[in-house]
Amino acid sequence: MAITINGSGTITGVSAGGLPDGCVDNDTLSSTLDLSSKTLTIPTDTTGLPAGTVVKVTNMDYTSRQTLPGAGKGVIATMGTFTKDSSTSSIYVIGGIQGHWGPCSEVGVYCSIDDSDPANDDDSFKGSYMFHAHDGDYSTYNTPYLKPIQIHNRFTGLSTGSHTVRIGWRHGTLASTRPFGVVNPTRQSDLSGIQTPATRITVFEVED
Amino acid sequence: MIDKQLIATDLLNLCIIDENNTGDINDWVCCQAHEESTDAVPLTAEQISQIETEYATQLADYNAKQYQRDRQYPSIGEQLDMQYWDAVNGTTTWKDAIAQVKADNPKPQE
Repeated sequence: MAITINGSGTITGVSAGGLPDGCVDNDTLSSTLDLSSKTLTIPTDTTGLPAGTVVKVTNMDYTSRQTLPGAGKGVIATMGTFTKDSSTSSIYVIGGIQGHWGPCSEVGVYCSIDDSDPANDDDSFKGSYMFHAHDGDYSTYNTPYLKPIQIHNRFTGLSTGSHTVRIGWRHGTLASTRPFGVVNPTRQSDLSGIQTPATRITVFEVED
Repeated sequence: MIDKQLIATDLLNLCIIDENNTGDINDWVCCQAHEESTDAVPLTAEQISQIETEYATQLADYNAKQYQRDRQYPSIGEQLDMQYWDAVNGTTTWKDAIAQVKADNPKPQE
């Protein structure tokens, strides 16, 4: 095609790659980029992302007031699902479980990913236990000690796609105990002055 | 304060979930501890009746002992100090102070 310089100032007829290297050089580029009238589309392909890049953040809340029996082990809640985009990323799970009322002798609370029976201690995609002992008088129901428990785990080797996050508790010898009697204490039902009736888990997908 | 939801859990040995945080027993659902909370089912009428009966029993006992919780005795240190000076001076300060607390918060008649 012939090269044409149009009256409007445009040039047609130049094929892809037809301009020489350096045609638009660094000095020609603007030092600022005004995207105020543009839509920025981020590529979904995660290949080549540098290590440490946060690919995705997913937040999960559990807000129901729930009581736990002294069963030695159990599921507290299915927190939700997240979709892993990169095959080479790790999953970091950070969160807190709000609870009160004992007894709770050295029982562990954990989160798991894709564990259909997380109360059993037999799955590789399970976070480490976070232990705590009882912290006060638990002889009556009238002991509103707030007991937040931290969750902080890293999961590697997960495939891309949808995954389910659960939280639960387990005692080492399955003694009849529980981490607390009440999960997500509420202002209406409990005596604590400052309460956040929400157990929250945040899932970070981070490129390795 | 008597926690009906905790009473229900201990009575039935189940997880009890107040899904909407209403406090209303008719809204509660339950599941075994090893099950998913998403698999919880509503309480049966029989379970609700059991819970209400146990709750009423514990609440009556709790209220009957309200006078004990209202009795604000002096601290142990203060009481020992009173007893020391009573022994030195031959007074009855400690006994009078304790009697006054009991008199102010009498045990209800049966």
